[in-house]
Amino acid sequence: MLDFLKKHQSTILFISLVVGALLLYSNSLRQQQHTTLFEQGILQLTNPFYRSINTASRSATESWDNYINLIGVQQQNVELKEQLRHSKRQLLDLHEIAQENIRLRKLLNFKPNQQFPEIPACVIAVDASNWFRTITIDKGTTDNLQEGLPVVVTEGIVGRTIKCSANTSRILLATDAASEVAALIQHNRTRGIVRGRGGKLTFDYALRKKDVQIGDMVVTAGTGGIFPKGIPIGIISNIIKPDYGLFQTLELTPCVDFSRLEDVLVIQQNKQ
Amino acid sequence: MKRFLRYLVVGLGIIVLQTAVLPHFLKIQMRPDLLLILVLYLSLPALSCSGAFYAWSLGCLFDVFTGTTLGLYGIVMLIIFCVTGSVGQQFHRDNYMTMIVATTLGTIAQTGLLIFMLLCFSNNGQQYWLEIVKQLPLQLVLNLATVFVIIVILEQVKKTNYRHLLHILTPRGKSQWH
Repeated sequence: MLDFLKKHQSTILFISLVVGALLLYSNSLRQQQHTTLFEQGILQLTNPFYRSINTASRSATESWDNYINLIGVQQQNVELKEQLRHSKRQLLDLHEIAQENIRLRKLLNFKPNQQFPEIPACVIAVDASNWFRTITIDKGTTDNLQEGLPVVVTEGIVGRTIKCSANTSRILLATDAASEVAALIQHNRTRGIVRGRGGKLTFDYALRKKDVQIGDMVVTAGTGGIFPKGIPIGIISNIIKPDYGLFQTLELTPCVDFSRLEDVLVIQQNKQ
Repeated sequence: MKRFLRYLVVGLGIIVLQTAVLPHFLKIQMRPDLLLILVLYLSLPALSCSGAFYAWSLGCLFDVFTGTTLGLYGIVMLIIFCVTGSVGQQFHRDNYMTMIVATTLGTIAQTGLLIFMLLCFSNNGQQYWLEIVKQLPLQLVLNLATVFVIIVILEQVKKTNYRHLLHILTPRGKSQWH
């Protein structure tokens, strides 16, 4: 027996290593929602490097932008003043609508939407591979982040937190193939699931008979347990109606430009 | 142990470069797979258990910064190391063509293995595989271009005779692993 083991020592070691690696992978598949100590340690270890690179790159970009901005500053000033005037007028209208909304809600005895605190965070790294769509942010469990929190920007949804260490968290972007969001089409309230397809999104399970137009806005349905209701996801860019079947598939152009993400907001819901 | 730590530090440096530095310079969203190139480079002199363990560790390190599951790249890198190590013993690593052929086959093998693992074990394999196949040609071009640049740099290093740097970068064959 000992002779056999000695003779085939290398082969046995290789097989053990492969089996061990497979076991670790299959175990990780079952515990995708948790951040292991190894992951936390490595994320924590690399955090200072990411922060320094991020600070350096931001200051370099800022200096360059400041220089470039000086060139067209007068023209931009005029345009911005005009935009400000427009926005003020819109704000007054919205204020009126909000007041009316409050009155009507009281009248109908509606419960107000719950407002959750938002934590701003900087994007410090992108995914290491080219197939998966994740980003790393500079906030972690010390800022009360945990796995499964929604991440947004003003334009719409970004994704959800999947791994958290003390000062760093990783976000699974909505465009990743593993990402699914419960959604509805804003104008006719058709429900479905938005899935990531690399750079694009698809809206699945929209009933075939529902009237859908290119350009319709798709927002979160609030039923998936992660994203609050009404956050923009994307705009319908293509409608695929098969010859038969119950459903139609809609292709969406995301509201958010995922290649230019710099700052995001993590919505701090109470996860039980 | 020292060598293992050295490779981990090099691996971490490569990952930081790939995730935080390169995206600022490359206008396209894709980046070369520097870790794959490192694993191929390590696997060419000889196949050994310690080398296989390093390759698996580097893959697991990569997993911390990619996807959702720890161990996927670990097993992919381990298999690539074992296959390249057993075949590559007959080839001379310092021959540039060897590295170019190894990178081409390694990139294709990595794509195939990733798709196989995702389809067999993950719920989302169906969604990923097409995306991975679509990006293979550009990934291959990027990896080959990077290998070419590394070869030129190593050639310059050899010419200027930075022995210490070469000692850090180059594994010295079978004897060193044991």
